[in-house]
Amino acid sequence: MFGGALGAICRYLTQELIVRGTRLPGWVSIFVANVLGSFLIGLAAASLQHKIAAADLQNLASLSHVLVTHPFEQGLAILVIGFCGAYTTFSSFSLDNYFLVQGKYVQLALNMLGSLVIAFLAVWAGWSLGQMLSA
Amino acid sequence: MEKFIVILCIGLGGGLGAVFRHLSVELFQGIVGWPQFVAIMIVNVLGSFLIGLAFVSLEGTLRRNGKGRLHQVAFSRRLEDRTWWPDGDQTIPPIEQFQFDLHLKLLTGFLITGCLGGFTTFSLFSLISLKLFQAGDWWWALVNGFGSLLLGLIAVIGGFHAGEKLVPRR
Repeated sequence: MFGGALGAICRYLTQELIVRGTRLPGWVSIFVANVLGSFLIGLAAASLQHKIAAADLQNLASLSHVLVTHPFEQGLAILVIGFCGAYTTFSSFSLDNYFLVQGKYVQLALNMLGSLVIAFLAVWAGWSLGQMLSA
Repeated sequence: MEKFIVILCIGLGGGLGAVFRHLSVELFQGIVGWPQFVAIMIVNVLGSFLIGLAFVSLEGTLRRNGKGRLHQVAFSRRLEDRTWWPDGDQTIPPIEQFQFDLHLKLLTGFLITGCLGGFTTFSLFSLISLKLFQAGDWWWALVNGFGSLLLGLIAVIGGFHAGEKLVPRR
């Protein structure tokens, strides 16, 4: 809950910063937030996964069990899931896509495919970095 | 001051949305027993539907200053007799205009940026795609990626059409 609130506020601030501070179209702010959040969650997942030996982030259903064995790491994991999950958003992304459907096909393709590919690369980069750091 | 209250609304909504996301993922994954990427896809598509609905109903009822974005969408001609665009509602006094604007800002912040923005997620979606890819299920990773994109877009359009019915005629 706390992470979620913080994430949503940070997303709003990112949005304001990009919309007010630069001349880029509005969807770029959501794009940046999504890519940054993806990188961060990849980093957190990889670096925390080594510490949480019993179960990893992959299995969200067994969170309560690990909470007993690794309270600090697990608390951090929940915070990160809350923060990154709320910092990134899919609904505003879809809404932006719908506005771009009206004739701005190049930007639409850029946003859809770009978000998909770059967020994937970001989470992969975060994951690799996290593994390097904790190795 | 106004900005501070807007940020407070976003924070409240974001917290609520994140909790609901966690509970929904637990429900679909832990209790119903579907794979995690399906649970996250359902959350994202549901949130996309709701954002379309919320956007149209809020913009259609509270946006009276003529600065709305509804005219950017394809079927906006059908909303012409229900929304206050392109030049706004000239008949209402400035103080009410101000109230409409304030309510729009607070509700948009709470519902759209906060609740729905916190409910849906892109980071878990990318993480799941990576996990699927690493596990060798790259076919499912592709289905997850493109399926979520297309279903999300369709859900927003569905939400727009449903929300249109909630907007009263002028």
